[in-house]
Amino acid sequence: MARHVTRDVAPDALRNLLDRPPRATVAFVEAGAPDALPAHACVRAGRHLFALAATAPALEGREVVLLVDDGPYWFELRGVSVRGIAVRAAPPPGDDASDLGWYAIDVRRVLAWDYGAIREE
Amino acid sequence: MDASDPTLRAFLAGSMVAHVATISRAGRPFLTPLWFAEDGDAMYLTTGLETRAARNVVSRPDVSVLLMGEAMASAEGVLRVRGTATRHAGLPPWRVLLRIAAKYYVGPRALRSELANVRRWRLRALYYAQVPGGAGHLCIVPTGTDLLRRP
Repeated sequence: MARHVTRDVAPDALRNLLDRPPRATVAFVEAGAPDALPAHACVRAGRHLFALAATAPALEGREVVLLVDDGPYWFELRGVSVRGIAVRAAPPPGDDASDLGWYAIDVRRVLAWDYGAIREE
Repeated sequence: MDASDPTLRAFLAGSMVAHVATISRAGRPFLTPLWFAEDGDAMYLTTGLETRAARNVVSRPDVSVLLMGEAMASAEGVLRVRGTATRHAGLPPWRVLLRIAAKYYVGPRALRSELANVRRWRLRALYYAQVPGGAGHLCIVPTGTDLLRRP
């Protein structure tokens, strides 16, 4: 039986990316169309947090997808996708966030990948 | 949308990965990172024919794309590109493929990364062979842009 090739990894394997992602985006549905906004994202006490500009639409109770990723080239691509429901949250201690709106994600699904870790299973 | 808009041109030239937001037939959000190249008035993004993003744009062609300008000397923000996407079977046109090769495989840094991973090329080929539906690509025609502040 042919073996499966995967680049999937456990999210914890990308902890350094989750803490300081160079690219972070939140997607949601706005007025029936897909929308995406740049985000500030981090993990604190096991919770996925993100912040948007204060001018962003209110996302409380809405389904969102947070994507953080890194790397330009094939074997350097790695990322984490977090799907869930946005819940208003306080800024994490130490984050200067007076002009941002913070949310935690009530997580429904997390996917993580690292093409540098591609392997047969 | 003016495809010659200098801000759009700068972000297309200076961004490596596009964050592409789509919605499913059922109306749920989806977000994925994709490689891309521009050609004429359109962006071409590589993906499998039956990936979630590809299937989504068949039923709901509106997309929202963020370009981070990570290869720009000083990107002042993030460019959100709204557009209309179509799904196509197979690889992009040759001219686009050459741009993708130049951007992601044979530039000096790209080549260094490729050569450092020669032993994994076989796995990559096997990985692509598993893609449901085989190769595909998206073509996005921009309809508007907004320069957003990075939070």
